[in-house]
Amino acid sequence: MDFATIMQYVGWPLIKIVILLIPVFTVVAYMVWFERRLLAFFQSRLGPNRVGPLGLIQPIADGLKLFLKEDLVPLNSRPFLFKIAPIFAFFPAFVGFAIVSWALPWVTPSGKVHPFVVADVDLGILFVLAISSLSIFGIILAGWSSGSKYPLFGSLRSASQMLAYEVPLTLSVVAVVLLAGSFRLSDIVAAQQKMGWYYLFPGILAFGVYLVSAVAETNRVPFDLPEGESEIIGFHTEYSGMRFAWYFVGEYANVTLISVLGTTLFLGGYDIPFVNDATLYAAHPWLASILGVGVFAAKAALFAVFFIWIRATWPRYRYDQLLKIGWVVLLPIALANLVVVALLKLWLLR
Amino acid sequence: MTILWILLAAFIAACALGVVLSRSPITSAISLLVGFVGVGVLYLCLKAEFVAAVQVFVYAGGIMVLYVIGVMFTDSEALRLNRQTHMQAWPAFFLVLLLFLWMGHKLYHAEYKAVPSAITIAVATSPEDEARTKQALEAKAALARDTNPRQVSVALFSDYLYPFEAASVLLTVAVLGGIFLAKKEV
Repeated sequence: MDFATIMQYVGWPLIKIVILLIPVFTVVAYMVWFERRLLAFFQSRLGPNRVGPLGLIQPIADGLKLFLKEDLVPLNSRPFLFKIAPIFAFFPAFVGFAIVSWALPWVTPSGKVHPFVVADVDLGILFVLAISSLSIFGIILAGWSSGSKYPLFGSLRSASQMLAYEVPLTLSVVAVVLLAGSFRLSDIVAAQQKMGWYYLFPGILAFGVYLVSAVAETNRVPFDLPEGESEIIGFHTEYSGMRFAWYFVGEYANVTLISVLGTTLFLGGYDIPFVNDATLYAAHPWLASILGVGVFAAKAALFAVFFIWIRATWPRYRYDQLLKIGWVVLLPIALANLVVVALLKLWLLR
Repeated sequence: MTILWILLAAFIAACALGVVLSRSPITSAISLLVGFVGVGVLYLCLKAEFVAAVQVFVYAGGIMVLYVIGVMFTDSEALRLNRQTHMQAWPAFFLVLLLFLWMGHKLYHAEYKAVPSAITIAVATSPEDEARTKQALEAKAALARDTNPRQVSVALFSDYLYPFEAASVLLTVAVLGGIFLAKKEV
């Protein structure tokens, strides 16, 4: 194997992964700060504003504190499973970013095409769904290996919640895949650009189902029974220090991922609204790519703010209500929507 | 590639052994989970990306969760300390050995007909005919552009539609039967 081959299969992907992961980690860390500040403003408080200007160093201080805390492992636990369970919680969320297409590809003067994506695979969204279906083990193993009753109950509750909402979430994504005719995220964006409007409109029901199930899948208010920060005993009761924090890193990474995916699926991804992207791209490829990433980030930020907004306004559902919404309300809507979208595709949007 | 395959196969076999030999049901379940993911990687090496994703999605993410939840409620110390019986071990071993040898024989002596690609046919039949060669080349390029999920769905919904639908009806019947058996009279 010569140097070029190694670079093609190992070097460039690694460089791309590092370039991608640094902003993702930063966004995940600062989302906590942003959420705390925004929630505080919703409630006429100031929020964390002491560490650094506007409290901007707060996430670093928090991380440092959590790293220095003692890592307790209960006597009655299964130590190996107890220690690896948090990995299951946060790694699927980060792996999912690999297939996200961030902008139109950059073409070098010599004619080489560099797509703005780590791995532009055919499977696309299906890959994310497959990987993120593993994150449920983080919760189940944590609850079981703690060797204590309350985490076990908490993990069963969370597991059935995640199972209940994974089905409508997948079906709402399938509706978009049906409209676009491809799993690949860059194809989905291209299909929306070709059609001229975003899938928000033909897929408005799918969008609603996606939003509700996304909130439930990420364990956020009003479906935050798995965590219930101050009052409900959840699956991570026995965890402390950084292992406890990994669950929250995973949660915020999941929120970011689901915002990014929702943007791609329903809001046109890196498509710049009211501008013909193709002409702009032909004239100034660099400008189009950079603007594309910026627009993408802005749209995804809208999603994230919406999540925080819900948290500031809604009370929590009861457990039976939560399961009822998943199985009795969302699932039939998602199924009916799938039929409607299929007919739309068959007759109107050929 | 061969070294990679041997490593992967050894890993999957180790996981399978873990499922059978482990005394604790939860360890068995986790070995099975890791084994499922390993089989998914094997599919990926065979360029069957769609099957790999479905393998992880359905088996590791769906069915294993139900297994693990079930196992958690049946895992008890008494069960684990029970003496396991190995009365069937030897007969089973010989049966499996027989099956293995038979399969190996069949696989070893099977005639592998390489599917001739469009380009080879065209070049072989009419080496002079440039137009046909060009056409065949284009067909090959189109095949290469075709995505894996699309190939699977075309096969599933055209050639194999009847078995596919029959399997889905069978599964629905099984689910209904399961509900009927498990549900108490209300």
